[in-house]
Amino acid sequence: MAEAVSVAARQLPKFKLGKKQVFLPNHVITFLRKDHLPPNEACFHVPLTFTKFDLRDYLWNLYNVEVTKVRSYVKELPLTQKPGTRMWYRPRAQKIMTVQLAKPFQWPEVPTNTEAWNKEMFDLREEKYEENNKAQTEKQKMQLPMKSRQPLTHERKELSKLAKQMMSGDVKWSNDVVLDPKWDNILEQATQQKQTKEESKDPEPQEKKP
Amino acid sequence: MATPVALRSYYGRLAQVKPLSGGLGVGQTAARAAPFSTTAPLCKRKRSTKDGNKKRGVSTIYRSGPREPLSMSSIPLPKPRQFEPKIKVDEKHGLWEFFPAPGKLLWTPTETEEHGRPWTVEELRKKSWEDLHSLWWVCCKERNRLATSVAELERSKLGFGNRELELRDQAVKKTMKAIRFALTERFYTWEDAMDVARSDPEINLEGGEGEAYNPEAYEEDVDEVKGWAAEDAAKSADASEVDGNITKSESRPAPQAS
Repeated sequence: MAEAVSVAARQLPKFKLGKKQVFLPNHVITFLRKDHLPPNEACFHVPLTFTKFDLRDYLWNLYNVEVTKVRSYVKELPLTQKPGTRMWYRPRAQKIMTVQLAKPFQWPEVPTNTEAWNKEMFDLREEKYEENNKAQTEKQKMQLPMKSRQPLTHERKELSKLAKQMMSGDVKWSNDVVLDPKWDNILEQATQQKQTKEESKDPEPQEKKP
Repeated sequence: MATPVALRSYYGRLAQVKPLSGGLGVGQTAARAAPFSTTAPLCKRKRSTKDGNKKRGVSTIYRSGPREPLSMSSIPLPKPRQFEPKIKVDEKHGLWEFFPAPGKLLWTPTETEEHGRPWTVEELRKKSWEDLHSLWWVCCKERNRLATSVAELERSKLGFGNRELELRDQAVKKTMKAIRFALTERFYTWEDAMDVARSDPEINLEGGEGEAYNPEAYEEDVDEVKGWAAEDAAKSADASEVDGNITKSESRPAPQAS
C-alpha cells in the first residue's frame, strides 16, 4: 500500500523511460570523484556494454536521480606488466560517463582524522615499496649502490667523530679487558727492556755526531 | 610606409606616459616622463618581409605579445579569483546511496567489517520471488557503494581498508549467487512438474471449460488410494505454488534499465 502511494507520488522524469525489463542484472556502477566538475555534474564508471540511455534509466529507477544529459567516453588504459612477471598486457578499457543532474550534488569532504585507516603505517609501507622498486630497477641497470656514494648514516657519523677525538687525544682508547695478573710481571719486564734499549741506543748517535 | 608605424608607436608611448589617475599635476608628469629618445628601438633595421604582414611574429599560441608596447602594458593583469561554489545538498538526494550515510564519505575498516554472513540457498528457497528480487536489487546497490568506496579510498590515499571492503563485496556476491541458484532450482522443479502434468490424464493443461484437475478415483477405493493420493495432492499443490510464483514474476513491473 505504502509502495503504491510512493509510486503515485513519484513524478515521471522529463525523458522517455525505456521499456525493456531487466530482472537480475550484474552491473556495478562506480561513482567517481572529479573535483574539476561543477556541482550539477557527476561522473560514473560503468560497464563497457552500457549506453547513455542505460545509465539514465538506471539512475532514475534505482536511485531516483533525474539526469538531463549524459556524456560518455571510453578510456583506454596503458600497457601494464603483470605483477611478479614480465608479461605485458593491455588492461580492459573503461567506460566513463558524466551526467548532468537535475538536482546538484557535492561530494562530502575527506575525513581529516585518518587514525582509523592507520595512515602512518600505510605511508611507511608505500615508502618502503618505492625504495625497493628503485633498488630493483638500479640493480637491473647494473648500477649497484656503492657505500661511499650513499649519504653518511648516523652510526658512521658518530664513529668518525670519535675517531677524530682519539686522534687529538681527548679520548683514550681502552677495550675494558681485565688481564690476568700473571702477565703483569712479563709486561713490566718487557717495558723495562724496551726502556734500556732506547737508553742504550740514544747515547750512541750523540757520541757519533760530534 | 614607415611614417604611420612610427606615429602609432609614438601615440602608444604618449598614452603610456600619460597619468593613469587624473589627480597628477603637470610637474609630476614631467618628472615621470619617458627617456628623451623613444625612437631608438624603432630605428633598428627590420628585416623586409615579402608579404608586408604587420602582425608577423605576433602569436597568441607562443605568447609573443604585441610588437610594440601598448597603452596598458604597464598595468598588471588582474588574476582570476579561485571560486569554488559551496552548495547545500539535499539530505534525500539519491546519490547519497552511493555513500554509507548522507554526508559521510567512507566507512572506517572496523565499520566495514561489521556485517553478517551471506544468505544461504536453504534460507532463500522459502522466499517468494518478490523477496528475492528486492534482495537482489539491495545487493546491487551495496556493490555499487562498495565499488565507490574502493575507488575513493585509492584516490584519496587515506590508508588501509581495501581488504575489508573486498571481503564485504565477496559476501554480497555470495548472496547474489545463492539467489540465482534458488531461482534456477525453482525453475527446474516447475519444468519437471509440467512434464508430469502433461503425461497425467487427470490434468487438463489445454485449458478450456471445467476444472484443470479431474481425478478419476475420487470416491471409489478411497481407503486403498489414500496413501499415494495424499502424496500426489501435496505434489500438485507444490507445483501450482511454484507455477504461481513464476507467473507473478512475469506480470510484475520490474526496475528497468533501458
